[in-house]
Amino acid sequence: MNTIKNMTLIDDDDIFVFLTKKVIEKTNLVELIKVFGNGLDALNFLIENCDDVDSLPEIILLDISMPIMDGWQFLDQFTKLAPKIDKKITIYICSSSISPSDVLLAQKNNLVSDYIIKPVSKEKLIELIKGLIAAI
Amino acid sequence: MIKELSDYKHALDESAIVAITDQKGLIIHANDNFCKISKYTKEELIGQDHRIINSGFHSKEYIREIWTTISNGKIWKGELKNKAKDGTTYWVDTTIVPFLNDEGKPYQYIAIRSDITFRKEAEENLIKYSNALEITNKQLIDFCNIVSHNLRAPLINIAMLVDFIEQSENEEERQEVQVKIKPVINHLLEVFNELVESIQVQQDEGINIDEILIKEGLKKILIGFEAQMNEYGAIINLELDSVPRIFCPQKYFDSILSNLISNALKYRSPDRELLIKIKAEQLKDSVLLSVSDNGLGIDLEMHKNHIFKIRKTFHKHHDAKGFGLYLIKTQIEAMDGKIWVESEVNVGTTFFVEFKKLNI
Repeated sequence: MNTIKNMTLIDDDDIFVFLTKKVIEKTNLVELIKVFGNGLDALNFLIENCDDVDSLPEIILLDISMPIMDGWQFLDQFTKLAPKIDKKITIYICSSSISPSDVLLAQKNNLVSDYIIKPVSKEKLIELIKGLIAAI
Repeated sequence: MIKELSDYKHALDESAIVAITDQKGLIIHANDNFCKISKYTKEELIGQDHRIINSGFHSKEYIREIWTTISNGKIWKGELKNKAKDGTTYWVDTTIVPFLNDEGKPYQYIAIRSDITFRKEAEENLIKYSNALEITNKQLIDFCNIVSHNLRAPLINIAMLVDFIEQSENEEERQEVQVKIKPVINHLLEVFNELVESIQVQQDEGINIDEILIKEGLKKILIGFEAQMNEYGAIINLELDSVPRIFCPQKYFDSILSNLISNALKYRSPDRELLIKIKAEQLKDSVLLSVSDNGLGIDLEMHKNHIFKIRKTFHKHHDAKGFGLYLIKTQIEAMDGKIWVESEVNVGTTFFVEFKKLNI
């Protein structure tokens, strides 16, 4: 496999979403990018589609500070959902917070592969996706 | 020998507050220091129950433990808060020694005390300052978090946009991205101004406390919402008669009520006519003001820790910024008051604000 079918951004930061989409689309490494502006919308989508492996993302970039349902609350809920999903979903936290307590919380969470502090450079994004493609 | 004894007594009388009681606790001897600190004369003290200087500060259990100890012939040592004749109180470090008869039973007690009022007052002040410091420290941590979360985010946006423009080779694309910078700068300014405003509150210590006639004050605030209320057909119900006035800085009163009313209007339910109830109640030493609505409600299960945090929002509303509740909480805490919320999704929300009695 040399592309990722589904990538999901859960982030209310319009600028980040806009630029990330732009960069990734140019690489042709990802077929579809879905965007949710808060944790709840994303969670509802995952719940509705938890049997439909093809529409589930291989990778999620998750923001922490969001309205309605923030990143931590999303992870709490996702922990309950994960056993029902028959697909490996890699989650990266992507936040502008440099607070050590956030980094520590992310390290403690088994579902989170890494904590990436914004800004995320073009190179870092591509490296991330290529790494995942190689692992699949 | 007798001379030596009387020298001892003299030395003790010079240095300590001394009282002797019989086995029932009636005072049979009081030295000059005791009279001086208790502000009673010897004549007033002799024959009185020792409880005459009881301040009521200590628990019954504490006092009972003293009596159990000494009536069993043991020495008791501890600190006591006593009351003088004029009602003022003082602290003494106390040692009570029972005098035992041939059968080993106490027949009288001597209480030797020293005045530690200064030390106790200093301790109390220290505790007060340390509590105040703790609050300030918490606010400082809050503030650092706000800076790290809320100011950093728009800065990074600008950095990423500029990077993208620099790296892009397509003029059209550059244009497309360039126009996105200005709104971010405006957002940055807005967050910055909010921060300045909230710091202002924390430095407002010397702000004037006004006497506010609640009904009048509220009517003035409601005028500002008239257009909105007419548009939504909102009904306002006031129950303020039991508390005519409140002491609070006018600026905070306006800000607190405006924010709560504006929230009730903003998060109204599309399914029913909006009803806002504003109620004031007199509590023991505070006034409880509540603003209730029958609007969308907040999922407290999920958001209970975030309600009053900056930039936290709970509904999809284009105008939700997550600043109002944060600001008013800061203002209320600056007045030593409290704010809390009760809510049920799709039923309504009630905010409670407790105003402590403030001295003008």
